[in-house]
Amino acid sequence: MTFRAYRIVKFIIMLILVALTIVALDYGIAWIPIPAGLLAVIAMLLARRRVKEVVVDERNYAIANRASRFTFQVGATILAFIGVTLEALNRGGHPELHPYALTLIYSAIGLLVIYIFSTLYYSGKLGGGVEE
Amino acid sequence: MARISNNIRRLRFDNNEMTQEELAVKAGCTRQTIIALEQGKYVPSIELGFRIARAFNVRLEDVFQYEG
Repeated sequence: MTFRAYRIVKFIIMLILVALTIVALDYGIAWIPIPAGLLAVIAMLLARRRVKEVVVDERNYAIANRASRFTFQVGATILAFIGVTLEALNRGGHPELHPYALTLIYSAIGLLVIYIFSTLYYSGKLGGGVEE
Repeated sequence: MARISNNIRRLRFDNNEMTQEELAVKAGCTRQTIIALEQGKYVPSIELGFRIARAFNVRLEDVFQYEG
């Protein structure tokens, strides 16, 4: 199966699932969408396994790599900036903002910690850490 | 712009006008990657470079040139 055919099959499965869910809810049978959803996932996985052509390659990983890095940099910066702004407002007479400021600042710190540990992990995995 | 150029488009036409899809299947990558390579927007890994060269039955340096 080509990737194009797979996408068509996936679209049809989704259409059937949505139609089934609407009909089931209309008739008041709320449990039907759950097994239907599971069956849809299984059907899509089976169809995906029949795809012969390469769908993801190194270029996709390179794109994901850059996008993740950009998302991290922008996300962490925005979180830290808003967190610090809220903390400044807190000290300027808005104590109700303190928990939000702390949440955002700690989230930014948490992201940085995850980034540092994942960088160390991948540095070790990909070599280049210690001279031999 | 990449400092590594390639002859993929010419090599495809020299090989019975091989399509981008056929080359992608032979090299084990996506057609979008072949398009990006031909446009000079993407520089492949050494492994993919070798696979592309092998798809054309030529040496790596017959496909890619370093213009440093």
